[in-house]
Amino acid sequence: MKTHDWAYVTVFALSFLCTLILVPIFRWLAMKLGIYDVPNESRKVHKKPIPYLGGLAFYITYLLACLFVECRYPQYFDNKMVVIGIGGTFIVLMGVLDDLISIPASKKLVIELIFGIILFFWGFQVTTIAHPLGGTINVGPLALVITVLWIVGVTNAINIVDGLDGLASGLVAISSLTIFTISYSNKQILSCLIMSILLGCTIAFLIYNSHPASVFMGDAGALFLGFVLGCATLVERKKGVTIVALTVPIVVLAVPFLDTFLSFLRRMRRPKEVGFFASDKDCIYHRLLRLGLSQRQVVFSLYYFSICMGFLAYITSLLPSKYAFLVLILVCMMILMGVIILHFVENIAGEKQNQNNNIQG
Amino acid sequence: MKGSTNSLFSLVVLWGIIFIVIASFLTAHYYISQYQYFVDPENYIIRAKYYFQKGNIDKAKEEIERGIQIFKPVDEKAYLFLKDIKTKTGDIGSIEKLVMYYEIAKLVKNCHTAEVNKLDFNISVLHDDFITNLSLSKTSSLSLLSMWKLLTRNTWKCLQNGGWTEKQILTFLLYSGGVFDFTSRIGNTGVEIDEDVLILSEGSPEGSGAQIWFQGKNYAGNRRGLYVLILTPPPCKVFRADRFDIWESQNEAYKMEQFLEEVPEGHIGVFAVSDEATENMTDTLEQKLLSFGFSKKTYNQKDLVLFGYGYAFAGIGVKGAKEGMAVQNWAKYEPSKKNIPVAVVGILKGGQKK
Repeated sequence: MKTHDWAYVTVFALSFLCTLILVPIFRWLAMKLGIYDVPNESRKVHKKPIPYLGGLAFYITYLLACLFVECRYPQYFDNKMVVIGIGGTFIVLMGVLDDLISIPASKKLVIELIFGIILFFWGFQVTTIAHPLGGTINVGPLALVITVLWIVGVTNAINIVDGLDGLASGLVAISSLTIFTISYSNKQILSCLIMSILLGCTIAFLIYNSHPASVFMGDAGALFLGFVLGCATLVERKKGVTIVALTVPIVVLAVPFLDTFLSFLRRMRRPKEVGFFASDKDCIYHRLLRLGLSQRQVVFSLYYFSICMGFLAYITSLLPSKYAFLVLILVCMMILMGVIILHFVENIAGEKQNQNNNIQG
Repeated sequence: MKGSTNSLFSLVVLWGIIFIVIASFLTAHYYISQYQYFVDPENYIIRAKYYFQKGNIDKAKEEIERGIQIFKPVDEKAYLFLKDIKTKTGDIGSIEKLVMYYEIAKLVKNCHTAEVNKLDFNISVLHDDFITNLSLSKTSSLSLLSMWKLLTRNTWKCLQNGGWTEKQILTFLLYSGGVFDFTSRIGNTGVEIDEDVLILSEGSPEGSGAQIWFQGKNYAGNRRGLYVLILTPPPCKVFRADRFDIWESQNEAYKMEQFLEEVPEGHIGVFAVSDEATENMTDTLEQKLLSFGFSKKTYNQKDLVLFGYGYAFAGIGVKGAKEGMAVQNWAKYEPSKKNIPVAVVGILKGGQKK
């Protein structure tokens, strides 16, 4: 095994062990402080109060892993890891505040946008995007907008799917593994290292968080995972891999992005009095639950879908950019098809329910 | 814990933990980075400078020595760079010179955007001529000036007013890591050319040029790719010249493989990268390049390569020479920095190093 392979293995092992040890500690702390997710809202699917703060373990693990890399493998260390750590600190502070006193989503968005802008000036930039017919396009001043939207988008996408036991952590684990594989074949060591950290954290966390969960990561954890994932896809700015930097994560993170996109569309159609940022019970997993699937079945279905997308992303990464774009279009069409089918199935199920009600009535 | 009564207390506790964690992390990071061993030789100089400024001369020298020991078996260029500094500072007996060399090295790294006053400052240093008995041919002098003009395009006018001589330019390039032979020999290949060759390569992200000067003519240009000039064995004449955009497609790499395959043994190959030339590099092409006597001396992240992504690379070798016999120079592409990597190689007649 080469040195960098050892680095990935040891970083993964360290992250796994740290999270495994830290999660029970934060669970205990959450119970001591009485920080529970109480199922007092209709959109909550768990039955009893579950302690939060599991996500703080990710944050500390990430920082410890950075120090480990800096000490043990300095040749692979990059200051961008520190920048992500510092940015992540603010995200975690905001997440903790949200876990405790519920910040309005609009204010959270503003804060995230500010972080996105700061990160842009710290060197996390999407300056070129793949041209659909091959080559790249310099996006010029639009780089700021694209970068900020990307980071904020990924951060929130992970937060939105954090609604079922093990869903967000499982999806992040699958995405990390896919991005790791792609980065590995592109010899992007920094990206591989960050993905190893995320993979170690999320797999360890699944031990506590898979159904029935004994601890939740909370907004702090979900936002932090999304933030690191968003930033990590921008750390390698090699020309020609720009396509990998955006197209591939879009495919990998298809589930969270789809959920975010549908949520956005739903909210656009809402009456003004409900408000754009008010949460609802129409996320993909809610809709699948309403169709009669168990929580475990929903989670595994979405895992399965995400794994398929992971394979597709890997294939996309091997293709020239013009073909990658065609694959991206194909993915979008398939997803649209899936959404239409889901809509039909919901209608049929709804009609059946009405018929049953009429018969009983 | 939405709705809890002791939210404020919990917030203070949790934020407190987070602040302690990040403060500990940053402190640890600071101390580790101060004493860490890096792969870039410049970092040893940075640390040496740091110790020097703190008045710890022995520690500063120790850092340079440590760098030499680490790089000796793995990276010839880094090793020679540090050894050179050690020799110079040792001769002078003062660490002050070390800082001066460091400043020059830094300056050259930022050559394209260097502030005028910094260049002026260093002109005085260069009056202490490093090269003696230099008498370049007229065509080579013009080639050198043309190269210098490209290299310092943002400061050219000022430099012209400052009156840089060929000696100063060469001294400057030598200090900054340029590789020159003043006896017309191509490394250890045993081939001695009868004409001067000057090679300049600029890497990513905004490097926009390569120059291969031979008999007063530039055989490279401003387009992306790997420029190659093939010369016949002495008496040297141009055999073939071409450019291959290996960043754009693998077909270009295949074409170049074919091109190099057709070069007869004993012919001289001159190479210069403009912007980028590894994206679609094939193993076969790398082997073909190595067949000119080049060797893998640098790391692209952790893999030993001839030159890495976005690196500047300039080299001259002889087809069929053993690995390591040719003359090559490279400079790393560092995405986090704004400077352009530059590599210079010169096989010149009519001068000698002191």
